[in-house]
Amino acid sequence: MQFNSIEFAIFLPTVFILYWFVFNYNLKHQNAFLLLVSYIFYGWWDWRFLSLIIFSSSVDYLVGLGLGRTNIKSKRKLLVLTSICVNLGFLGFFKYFNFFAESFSDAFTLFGSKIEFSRLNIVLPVGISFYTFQTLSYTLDVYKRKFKPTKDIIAFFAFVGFFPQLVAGPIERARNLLPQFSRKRRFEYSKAADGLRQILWGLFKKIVIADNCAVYANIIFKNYTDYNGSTLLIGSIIFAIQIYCDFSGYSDIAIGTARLFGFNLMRNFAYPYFSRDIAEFWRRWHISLSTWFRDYLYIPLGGSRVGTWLKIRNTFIIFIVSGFWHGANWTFIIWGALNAIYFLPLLLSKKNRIHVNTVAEGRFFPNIKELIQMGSTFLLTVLAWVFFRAENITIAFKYLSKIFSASIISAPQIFPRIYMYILFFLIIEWLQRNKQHALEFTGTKYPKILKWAVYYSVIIIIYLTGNFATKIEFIYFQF
Amino acid sequence: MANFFKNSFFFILGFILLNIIFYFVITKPAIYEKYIFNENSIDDYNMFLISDSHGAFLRGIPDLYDIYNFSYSSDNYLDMFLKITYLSTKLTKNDTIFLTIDYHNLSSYKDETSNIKMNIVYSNYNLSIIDKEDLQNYKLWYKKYLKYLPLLDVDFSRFHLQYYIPQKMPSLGYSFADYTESQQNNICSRRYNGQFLDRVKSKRQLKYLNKILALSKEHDFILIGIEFPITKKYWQMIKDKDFGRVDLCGAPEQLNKSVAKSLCEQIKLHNTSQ
Repeated sequence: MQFNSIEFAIFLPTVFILYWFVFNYNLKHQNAFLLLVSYIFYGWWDWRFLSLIIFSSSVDYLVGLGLGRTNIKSKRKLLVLTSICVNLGFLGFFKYFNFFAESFSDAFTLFGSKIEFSRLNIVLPVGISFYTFQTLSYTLDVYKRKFKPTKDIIAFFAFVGFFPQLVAGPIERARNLLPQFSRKRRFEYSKAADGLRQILWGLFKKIVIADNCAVYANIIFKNYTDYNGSTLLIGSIIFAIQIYCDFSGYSDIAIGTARLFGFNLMRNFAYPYFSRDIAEFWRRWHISLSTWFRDYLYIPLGGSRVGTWLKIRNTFIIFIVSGFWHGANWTFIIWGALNAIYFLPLLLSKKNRIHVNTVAEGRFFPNIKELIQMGSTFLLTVLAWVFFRAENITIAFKYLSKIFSASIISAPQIFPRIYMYILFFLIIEWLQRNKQHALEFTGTKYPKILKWAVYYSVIIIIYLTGNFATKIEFIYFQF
Repeated sequence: MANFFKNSFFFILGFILLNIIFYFVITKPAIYEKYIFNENSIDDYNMFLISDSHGAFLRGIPDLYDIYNFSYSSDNYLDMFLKITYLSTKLTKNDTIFLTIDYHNLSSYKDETSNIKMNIVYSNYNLSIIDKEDLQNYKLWYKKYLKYLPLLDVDFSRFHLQYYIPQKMPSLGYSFADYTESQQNNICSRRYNGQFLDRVKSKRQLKYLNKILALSKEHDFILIGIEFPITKKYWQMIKDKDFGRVDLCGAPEQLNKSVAKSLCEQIKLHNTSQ
């Protein structure tokens, strides 16, 4: 079920009413109800893959219980390895089998021998990369004794399958989300109202900005040989805006929906394109995944408290693994490696944490230095996105070589209306950059009528300018 | 909670009111009276052009030649059937319909493109005239209830902006003639492979073309088939496959202005010779 679908528009209010009026008297019933509707939500795509979530949840629930019962090191290791193998095994099989098979085949061909691997006709279960990492965070935290295992099977299954963030995150940590299933939720007016505002803004980002950008990004990337350098540069900028609005729009809807049910999910995006360097960008982009890799991969590898070479190795590992997490294609690996190359100079010169506050704090306009920093950071990310979007590495390099050709100085061949939408969107985001989301009114005393006028205006803008003609799935569903 | 529901209730009430205002101030005059149903002007015409994007490119010229252009990008024969169903309530005997008839429109590629979500309005939401099997991919039952709640009927949304702030066609702003020869070859080859290569006629498109023929016969309309012109390169590819077509224009398979005018002249010539 898509967030921007008629089905969800019926599903959400129905679930909301039943949740607060029928099942609110008993926490266990409320959790069981959440679990049931979460499985209905997921099963809407393909009910067969529900078995994967149930199996993965069962394994991690039992591993958690096992870890809670034993202090024997070898047993604990065996248990956590079981969880890692099952979860990454599923991920490896469904997402990476064909990639590894083809890569091995190519490698053998290079050395003169030919090995034929038969390609498996596998459908990637929606959201597998997200819920696998979420449930893994539980067993890893329990293993490290950072979190006590739960005995409440319904609460645990509901934590893994919680519908707002099941298919595309934010990837929650057990220590943040699971305790919320164990305590009685109280309805809070301000929280629910702000949740609705965040959902509205998420829909704006998805339907108006991302889906309109998608039309042009798809045309330009598909027919890149037909366009000059300036048009290709614009195509990659449009894709950069598309992927941000698509993914952060989803996160906004997920976080807003969770708030309607009394849950707090972690923030996933914090205006990343207003970053002044790549390190700041990665603190603001897909925060739940970046911090997951930081906590469960980078720090266990030694993080940045090791020698220079190990620092370089660790940085490359987390960026490349992060790229590979997105998909079984060399383009994602190059995308990750490129970001590591961007990041390393800052890390080695210990300048990776110089921009931790909001840009132009206390001021309306940024200064020239900040403007240049933001522009250059954005441009670096845009060039990296070319690898992320291209079908293969050869196309990515051809695309980039055309951008850096003489035709970059010729006039762009495409002048869509979308430029105005992007400008409007960036201005609103800039003005609200200190808030959790751009429609947040916390701390303001605007009259209700003015606030409602804003909401109605956003609805009309979505209706008039949104792309409803082309059905475009959220990009991150494929990961 | 009570406060939340009270505010939600008033917000929804305001939203319904907003919809009604929106319908009478914006949607009705723009969409129902002009863009979709141009009732007054339809009565002034006795010649109609019904096609997909190939005919849509003739927009603006019909005034000159007394032809009402009922073409829209990505329409297929099911859409055209709905439009002719609507016209059958308006037209009189011997009124003329120019209808696109070619391999492109009979290709199974056309099964995937349809504007039925919008064009169902031409049947006055009467779903029974469409075979059930052809409605499987569409949810249309609720459409008639949304007439006065236009902000919930997103299928019409794009017409509003197009009507009030028209965007130049083609929206991508390129001219086929601006491309190099190899780029032109690439474009032609891509579109040819995607939209013409399929020689297998679509049973569904053929069925609705036959329904159109039957309807026209029943109402004694004059139905004239048009094969839209395509480029030389395109034509050569198609000719190699023994399609046999006429080359007239410089754009890949859409009409540019001069060719559109030339086609209108031919239609006019045809009409005066009748």
